[in-house]
Amino acid sequence: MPVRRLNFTGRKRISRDYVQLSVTSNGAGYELRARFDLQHYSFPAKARIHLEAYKRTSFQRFDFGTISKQLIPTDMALSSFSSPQGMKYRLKIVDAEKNRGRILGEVDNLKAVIAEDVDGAEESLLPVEPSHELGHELYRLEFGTNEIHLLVNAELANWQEVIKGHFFSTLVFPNLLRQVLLHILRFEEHRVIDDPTDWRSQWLKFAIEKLRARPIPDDGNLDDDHVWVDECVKSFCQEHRILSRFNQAWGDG
Amino acid sequence: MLLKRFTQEGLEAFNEFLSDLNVNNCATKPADLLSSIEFSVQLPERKEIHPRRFITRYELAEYLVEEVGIDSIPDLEHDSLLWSWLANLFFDWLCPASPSGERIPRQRARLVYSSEGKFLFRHLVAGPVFVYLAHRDNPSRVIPLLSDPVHQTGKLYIEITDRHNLLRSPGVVEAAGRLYFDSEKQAIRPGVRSKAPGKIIRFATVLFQFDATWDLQSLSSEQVIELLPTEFDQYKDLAKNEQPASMFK
Repeated sequence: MPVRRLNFTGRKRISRDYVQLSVTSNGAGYELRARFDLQHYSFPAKARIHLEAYKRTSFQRFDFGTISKQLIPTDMALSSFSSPQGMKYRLKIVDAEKNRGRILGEVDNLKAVIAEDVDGAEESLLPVEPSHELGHELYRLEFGTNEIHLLVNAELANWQEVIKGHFFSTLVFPNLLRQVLLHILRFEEHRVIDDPTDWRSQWLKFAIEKLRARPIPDDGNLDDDHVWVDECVKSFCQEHRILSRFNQAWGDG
Repeated sequence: MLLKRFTQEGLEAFNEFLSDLNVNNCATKPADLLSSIEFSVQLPERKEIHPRRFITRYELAEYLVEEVGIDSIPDLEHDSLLWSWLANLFFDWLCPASPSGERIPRQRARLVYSSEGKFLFRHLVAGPVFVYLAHRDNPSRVIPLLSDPVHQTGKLYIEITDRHNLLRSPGVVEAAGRLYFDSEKQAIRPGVRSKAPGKIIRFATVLFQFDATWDLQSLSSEQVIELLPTEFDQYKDLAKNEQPASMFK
């Protein structure tokens, strides 16, 4: 049954279809580009437009002027962030007159398209972050409230190259896929793909569409879930010729 | 001396010492944790640091940012080895000894850094620095949050940093200072730490709820205070006599 959301505040939910965000490299770091189409919402002319970028404790806010007079900030550098991976955005329309500071419209959990020349540009289901907290572990999956990350040991020599290499991808990725899908089904008890902003839906959609998995089991049976996940992993390994690639890498020394 | 970070072995040795200290409150910290190349490595950035006693958490944060330049080090949020080394460097003040020589380390996250959830701000060195950096445009705004001695974490600090959206708002942080910090005495007002109406916990709870309706980022401290319900009237009256942030110094 769909969940009805009650809104007593009069705040309008802006459709993410009307917001386009992208991140490019500017040589020194990353720069944000944004376009909005807000004409469908009848916001007051003097209402202010704010775009917030955030990831964990890092935060940056950009002022885009008003509804009637939109401006592009002169500085769109994402200077507070070391990587665009895993970043989210929130667009707010804020009353500047009668109830100054009141939110008139909002959309949250937006993601930006990352340009090809930016490191890690492929839209990744699994953002990678270096970590100094792993001790002697090489990597660890981290499940957050609204996100998932692959932490890689920052002390691992050339870690960016290591994770792109054949040994890491063939030995680790199938297991990561299994861990993530089981976590979604068994721990999160999430079995739908209806919310494109939800990482759990994104992974299940990946399994259905890219791995051509059969429909997700819906009865919560442990054995059924394991069988379904095994089929997904098998399909992934076939698709990416995991055994052949490993043998070739091993043979190449 | 030059700023360093632990090696994995150094972090393990520090953790072992803290475990020993939990059992034997008079345990002695290994002297070579800071100096031995097995336990500590210099940063490529080569920054000078001179450990000394700081009266408040604000002074510690100000020193690390403005004099040491710690914010130029990349990926601070994930650098457990750096922050834990710094906790080791300042250990005598972060975990002071009683007259009988006993030290009580308390929660490990206060000394060994973790970037998970709220533990990030619980670290006695990293927490104040992150708060300071969040208000780099006007650092004196966070003096009330960081007014405690370096080995203590005050209630105002905990309630604001547990809710990142409040910490990010200049108006909220300033309002918290005007309501609950006595600028003449340079201390948190007495009696504000309880769960009673109008006190710090209620302030954070009420504003956290307001965040769904109000753009807290764009509100001045005056506007934030005006939003508060009547349970806060006692402190609103006191806040009228306090000027915005610049008076906190």
